[in-house]
Amino acid sequence: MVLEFLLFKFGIRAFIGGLIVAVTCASLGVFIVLRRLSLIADGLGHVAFGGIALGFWTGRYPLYTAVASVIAGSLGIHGLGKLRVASDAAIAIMFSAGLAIGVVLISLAQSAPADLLSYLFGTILGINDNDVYLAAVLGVIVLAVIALLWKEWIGITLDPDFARVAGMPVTRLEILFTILVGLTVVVACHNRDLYYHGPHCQALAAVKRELQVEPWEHRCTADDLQTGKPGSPEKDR
Amino acid sequence: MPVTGAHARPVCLRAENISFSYGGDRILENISLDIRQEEFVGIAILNGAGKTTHLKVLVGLLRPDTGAISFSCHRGECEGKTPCRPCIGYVPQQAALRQQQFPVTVREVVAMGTYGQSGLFSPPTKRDLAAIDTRIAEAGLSRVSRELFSDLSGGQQQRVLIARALVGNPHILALDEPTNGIDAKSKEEFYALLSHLHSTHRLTVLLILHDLTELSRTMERIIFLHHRILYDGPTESLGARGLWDLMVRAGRG
Repeated sequence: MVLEFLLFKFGIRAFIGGLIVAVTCASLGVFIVLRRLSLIADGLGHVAFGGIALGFWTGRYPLYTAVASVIAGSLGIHGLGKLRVASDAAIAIMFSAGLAIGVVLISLAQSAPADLLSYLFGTILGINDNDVYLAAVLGVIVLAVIALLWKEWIGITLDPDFARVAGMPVTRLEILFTILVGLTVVVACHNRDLYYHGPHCQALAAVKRELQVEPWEHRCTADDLQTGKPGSPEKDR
Repeated sequence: MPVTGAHARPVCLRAENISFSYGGDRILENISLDIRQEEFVGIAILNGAGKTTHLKVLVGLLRPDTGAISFSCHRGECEGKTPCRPCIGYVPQQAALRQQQFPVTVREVVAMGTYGQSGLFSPPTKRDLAAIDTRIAEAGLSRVSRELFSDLSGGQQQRVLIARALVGNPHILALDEPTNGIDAKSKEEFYALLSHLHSTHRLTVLLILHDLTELSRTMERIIFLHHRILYDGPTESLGARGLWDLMVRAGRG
């Protein structure tokens, strides 16, 4: 039986953790790809590594320090943007800094932590209850913010200049978006791993965008959700 | 005069001693100008001289290195604010839309114009939805309102962007090279729509274009900018000779 793994507690934990990661990454991934920020999850993944190393060094729960570090990394990327550093260069700087700080802090730790590799390369079957609770809380926060600010995400993704002139707080929304990406990195980092969750975020959205495949006969838009009426039939391409 | 009695009208956009540099290049040098309510103004800037940058400075998207931009519209809440956001309807170049393939319908694009005023976490009100329908109808887009934006022609996309800019009921409509890449018939229709909106909604229109000849045919006042203001006055007093002289002066830098 395919579902036999659900007879074991570790299997249930892995299933729930994987489900949270899949839903969160796919929801945010659409906007990541459309905003051409495909490398940001990778960059913040390395920042999270610095945070995890900080946790090991200070003896705190690594995922808590990872949350703090990705928030700091998100603000850092925007701070560099204010200094007119291009966004890809800003991501690369945080990427390198996170990795370098992580390596230094791991070296400073008294002994090499046994489960460091599980953060780096992922052991979804090895996650504990704490990891699942943290992933669930962060996942709900991320999905709630995406849903509540849906029109704002469309606005800053489609045309940030217009959104700014129209009076939307674009800079604050962009910082919030980067923080959401960072939190998703933390959600994913123990369930999957730091270095492969980035493609996880972008793969679905990118495939959908390139192939223009819709699972439904009718395209369902935000407008349809508001009015409750079905959308217009997909045009032949 | 740009328009009859224009100087009797209050100033709605004032630029005072504006200078702006980008990457070491001096784009604007000590520019001062007033745009008065209900004026129909064309700003001519040569290709490669930073047209979009000029408009972004004027609508408050870019902060000038020196000087200040101030807005003063009819509404009390706008007084003294820089930029006075509800006062401006911004129409970027079509290519400026980050994602031409973004799967949004015409109605969703137009609805974006209400987002700034409706505030965070708030769905569009009935008033917003009615305004969206009205602007779509006014721009002649009712038939295609549920089509994808990316499926429309260049002329239709331009109308969608104008409808989006007008949903917020602005006093100034600022357009960045709106007729780029559209055919002659669509251009005619575009200027007819702009003229209609200008007269029926008492809009102030500010349009940036590189084509001085096109501006001289359609706008009431022309400002020719090349780092500094080379000409600022009514179109009719410019004439063919004046147009030629301006081009030569701009060419000499």
